[in-house]
Amino acid sequence: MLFNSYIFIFAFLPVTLLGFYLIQNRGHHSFSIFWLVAASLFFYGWWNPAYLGLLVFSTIFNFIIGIHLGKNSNNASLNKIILIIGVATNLSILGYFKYANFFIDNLNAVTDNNLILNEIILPLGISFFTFQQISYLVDAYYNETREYSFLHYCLFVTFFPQLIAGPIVHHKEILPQFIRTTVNTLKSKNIAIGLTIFCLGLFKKVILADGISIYASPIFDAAEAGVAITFFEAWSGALAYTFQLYFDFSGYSDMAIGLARMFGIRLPINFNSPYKATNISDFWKRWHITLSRLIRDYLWDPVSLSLTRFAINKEYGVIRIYILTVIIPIIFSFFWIGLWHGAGWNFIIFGFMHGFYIVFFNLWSKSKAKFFNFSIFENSKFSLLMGWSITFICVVFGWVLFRAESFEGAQIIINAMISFDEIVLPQNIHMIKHWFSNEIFINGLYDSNFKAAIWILLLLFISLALPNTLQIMKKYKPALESYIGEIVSSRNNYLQWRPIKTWALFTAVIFVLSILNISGESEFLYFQF
Amino acid sequence: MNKDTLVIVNNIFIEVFQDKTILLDKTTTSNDIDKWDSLNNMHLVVAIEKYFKVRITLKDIKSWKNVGDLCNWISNKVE
Repeated sequence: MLFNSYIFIFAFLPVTLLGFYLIQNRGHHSFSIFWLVAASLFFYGWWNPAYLGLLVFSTIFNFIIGIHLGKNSNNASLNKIILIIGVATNLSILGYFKYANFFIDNLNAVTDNNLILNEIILPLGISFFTFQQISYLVDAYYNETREYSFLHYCLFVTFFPQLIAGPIVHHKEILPQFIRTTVNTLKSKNIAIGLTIFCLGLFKKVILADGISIYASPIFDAAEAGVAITFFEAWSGALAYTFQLYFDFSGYSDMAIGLARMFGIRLPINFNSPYKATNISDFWKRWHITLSRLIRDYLWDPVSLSLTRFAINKEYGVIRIYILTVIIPIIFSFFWIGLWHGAGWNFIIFGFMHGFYIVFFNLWSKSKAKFFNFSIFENSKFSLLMGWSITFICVVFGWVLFRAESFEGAQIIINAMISFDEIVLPQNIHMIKHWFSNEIFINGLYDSNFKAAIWILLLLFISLALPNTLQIMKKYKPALESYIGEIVSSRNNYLQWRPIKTWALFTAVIFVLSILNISGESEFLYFQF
Repeated sequence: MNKDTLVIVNNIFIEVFQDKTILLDKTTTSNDIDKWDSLNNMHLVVAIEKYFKVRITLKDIKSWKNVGDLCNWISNKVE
């Protein structure tokens, strides 16, 4: 069931919400949790009941491992073995469902064999619920959290607002909220805040992301079919996808945060205006925040700590220390970020690309202080503008690999994006006329270039100049602070949400607009991960 | 918390980040120092390990919310 479907908005959500609060009001707290778990399983099974088996098995298995980690906390070596079994089983299941076909294809290519594996259907949200549970096992191993109630554990894994595509939550930040019964009494404030955030997310998905998607897909499909693409077509397709992905995924995250809030639960922040980032490190602090923090806490930190210890104890020179303690952990972490998104070389190269971006940025920051200590590089408007432009262009190139179905398809688009000899600058007014009359887009992939350009400029404006959902709602603490740094509320008073008629009217208008434009088939892009 | 510990830790910060202007107090966090991010956090950790001859685990690192927590942890270990 999609958040952006009539069945979800008009049947599933009201029934689940009503049932939850009716049961709560009669004082049956455990039963209300059971109700939410049952509703969540129904929500998940709606796509394909066959998926349910794996989700249920994974939940039971990890709960048992967690219990054993708790029982044996005095026996460090036994606990380590239990943890390794737990993590390895999770990774093997994920590996089988997500990466087996990719592995066999590559093995066949290298060995000239022709092994064939039956088509494996990727269960929805498997990367999300697997990683969330691995993080739980590690936390339980370090005694940071513990779960004895199977029912609560089930809700931690299956809670429908964040089951399919995050935000990825930590057990210790969500569980205290489930058992704190006082919060779960019906509060009109929670419903108003939750509904507003949900509607903002719905609008971002249905109107903005789906709206611009028709300017991205034809270009990527053409490249996949091997059609030659012009410079302008490539850039407009890549930019359209850049905004489609952002509004799709951040819209989904807003909807998840809003839905959870209606049940009195606060989920962690997942986006903080990533396209406002003025350097690539800043971008990763703002984009898919709950995945970045997961990789940082469970992959980067252990690798970085052991390599740093090793390099410094060996008393290596500056360059070797830098390679061992910065370059290798960065490339390693981003390799996993890439692979996490999918089994394909384009995702792996996407990961490496961002790894190298971060390394270059780090080298630049270091050398800037030493060798280029000019005032122009200090926080001047010029340097911020330069930083923003370079970051944004790098991110757009990354998204091409992310979106393309094959590496060859991505290559065609990237080659067109850097074929500067093709650029025919609008030297005179005729040129602009040609552009509007679509002659630059030789393949006729769009009905109108003008519309594509307007969409791109409009969404660029929204991404850069307007406050994000969390800034609009800042006063009402819409989400858990997972962002490193501070989320500043919107400076303009009119853009700060308050429970007043004007905002209610605005929310109603965007809700109706979204509802009227819901099309049956528009899945969220991040569901495929 | 031992006041000397804060002074020593401050010197370690100055050495690791190569920045003489760093002045720590108990409430300082990584948000207050530009150069202090997850890329070089572990350099700091290993420098502290080396100076105080202690072993720091990931769990210890996670339990520190600010420089004050770090110094308290060191004081407890060293005593």
